[in-house]
Amino acid sequence: MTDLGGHCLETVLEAFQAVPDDRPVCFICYTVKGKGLPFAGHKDNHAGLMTPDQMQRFKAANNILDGQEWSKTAGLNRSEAELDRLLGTVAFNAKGPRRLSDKTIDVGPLPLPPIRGTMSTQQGFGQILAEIARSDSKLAGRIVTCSPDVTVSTNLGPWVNRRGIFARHEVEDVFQARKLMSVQRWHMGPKGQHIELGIAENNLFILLAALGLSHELFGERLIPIGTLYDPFIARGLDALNYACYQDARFILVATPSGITLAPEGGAHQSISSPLIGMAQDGIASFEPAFVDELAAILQWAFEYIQRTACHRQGRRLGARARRRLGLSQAVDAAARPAGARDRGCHGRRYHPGRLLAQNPWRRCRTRHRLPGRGGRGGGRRPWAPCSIGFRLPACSPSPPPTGSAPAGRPPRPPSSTADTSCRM
Amino acid sequence: MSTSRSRRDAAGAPALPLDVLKDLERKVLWLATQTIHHANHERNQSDGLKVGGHQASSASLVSIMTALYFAVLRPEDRVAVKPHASPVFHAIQYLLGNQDVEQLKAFRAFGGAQSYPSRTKDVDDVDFSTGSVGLGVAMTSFASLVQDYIHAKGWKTEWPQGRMIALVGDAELDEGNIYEAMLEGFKHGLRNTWWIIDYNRQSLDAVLTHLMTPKLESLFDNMGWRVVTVKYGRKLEALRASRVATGFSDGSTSATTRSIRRSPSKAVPDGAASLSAISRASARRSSTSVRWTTTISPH
Repeated sequence: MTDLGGHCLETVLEAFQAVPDDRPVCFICYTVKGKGLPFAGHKDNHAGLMTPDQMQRFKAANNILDGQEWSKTAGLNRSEAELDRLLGTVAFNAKGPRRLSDKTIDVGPLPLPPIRGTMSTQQGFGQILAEIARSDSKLAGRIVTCSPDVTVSTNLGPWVNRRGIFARHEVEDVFQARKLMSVQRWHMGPKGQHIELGIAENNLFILLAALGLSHELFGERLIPIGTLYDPFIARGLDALNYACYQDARFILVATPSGITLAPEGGAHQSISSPLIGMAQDGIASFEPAFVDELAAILQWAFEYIQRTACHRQGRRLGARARRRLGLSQAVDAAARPAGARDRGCHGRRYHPGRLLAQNPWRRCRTRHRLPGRGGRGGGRRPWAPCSIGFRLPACSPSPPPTGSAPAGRPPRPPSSTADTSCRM
Repeated sequence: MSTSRSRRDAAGAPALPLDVLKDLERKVLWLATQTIHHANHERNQSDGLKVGGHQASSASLVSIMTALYFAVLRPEDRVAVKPHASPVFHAIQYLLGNQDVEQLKAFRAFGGAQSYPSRTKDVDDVDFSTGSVGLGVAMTSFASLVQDYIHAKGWKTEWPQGRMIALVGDAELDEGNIYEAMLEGFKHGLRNTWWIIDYNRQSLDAVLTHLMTPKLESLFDNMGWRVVTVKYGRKLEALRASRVATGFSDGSTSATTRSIRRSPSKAVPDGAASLSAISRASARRSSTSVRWTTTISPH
């Protein structure tokens, strides 16, 4: 009674090959945990390991002699040449390396919005994207935004008005068709460049992982930007870690951040998220203080997230695997793509601090953290390319203090009218 | 779309004869088991700390993965392998010439094949990293959405659309993010996605005490998925074929997958006692999602 469907090659092949269309399929394959091994079906077998004695008997049962443990043909009654020939026909391998690539997208100077009076970096972010949406640059065509039901409140609205929401088929906007007055004019169709998600942060980060690997999975490069409320990063933290672990490249905009939601009550203030930005490997986090700084860093980020990773493990490949993956034999070339240094692979040329230093009217006041030598991760290469995170508050900086108020604090209202209740 | 369909149909029968696949299945089980054994019992270990590995979890998926990798997958398909079945994946890639033996020998060690498939640390072309559990499963559905996005823009039209496939441990289905992804997939008209559940009815700590299949079937059916239950192998089917009493087919496709339901036997510890009635009821309920070509009356 152990001949269950999931262990019968004919049955599973038949099931897989009978799928008639592209509708998603769930196969429920009955199996026995540990099938073919001495502890098959034993309730405690999950982390169970076979003893050396059991392995010896298992080896004998497979007709494998001592010293042949790693042989591909031992016990199969087939020659190596025959097996190689047979395996050469396997479709999975037919097109060589599965990891695709795509050329990088020119960023160029970003079109800046006119800045009048004071503006929060969140507003600035929305307006910068709106300006990009107006342009017909290659960059504008490759940006994909996504948000878990906070598109409007993270200031993506103007971008979506111009670029639309993605849907596989044209969807009629019933509100627009009935001429309802609304700031949001969101067309839904295949040309749309915003993917609207339900309010589930796990989905946001996993979608960012998929978008951020598009060039390697599908051979088309995308520039993904995800927005969410800063405090809710924690809600999808493992999925964010998962995206970073896969070396997906995206820009994460966490806004509003900090205590800028304080007037709305105590619930949504985010105080600990800077620590996440500092600790999470695979993402460099910034908290720009001014809109022009944000623009400079964003421009740099668009270029930075497109850089090729320098995987340490690439150097450990054997000659055969290296050939298969189309890598050069030279150790350094595998670890760092040719010409990378010229493009500033190590980041020095494009360091945002330098960009900002060239900025004639503002000194850099941005808090930032980039992965560097000797930091978390030990021997990690300096300036390893990664994703970029922004933490953008929703209110503009307070006006400069006047009179005798202590420096750095906003002026207090007269005590008679002050709201003294605790908002935290 | 039409491109990928015709390619897949043209692919038809497996490229390799069944006897070769059976040999490979045996070899994959051996190599995966040996990889874990070597890491724990043969490799030099000065510190005496546990290395670990999951021989039973791996064995559970050997046939399914052998069928997939050697006969079903195309270059454009992308797979998220159940984290604990990583040794099976590495063994298959080793046989296909995409993985070095030194990597297998260094399984779980620094610079060696990873305990859970990793895009960034493994050298054998992992499609999706997996672990912690649940995330790789959801990843396939969002990757499919991205694939649709790219094709909708008219890019990469020469590259056929692949199937985004997750090999899912049944215990993995307890992770909530899977259901978040299912709902979102429904909203976006998810397609080209397969979730293959390794229904071994055992988790880390325990054996499943509830009959989950009807729940899973109605859940996936509800979200617009096709559900294919693969319960018995050929030998058991043959044994029961002699006792066929009634049968029905939805007749809508030429698919021949058998979904045979009857009360569980000793070796299929599905839980509750009077299951045959439930099974029959659920068979009637979900006849649109499961393609029934043969039904065996319980005795």
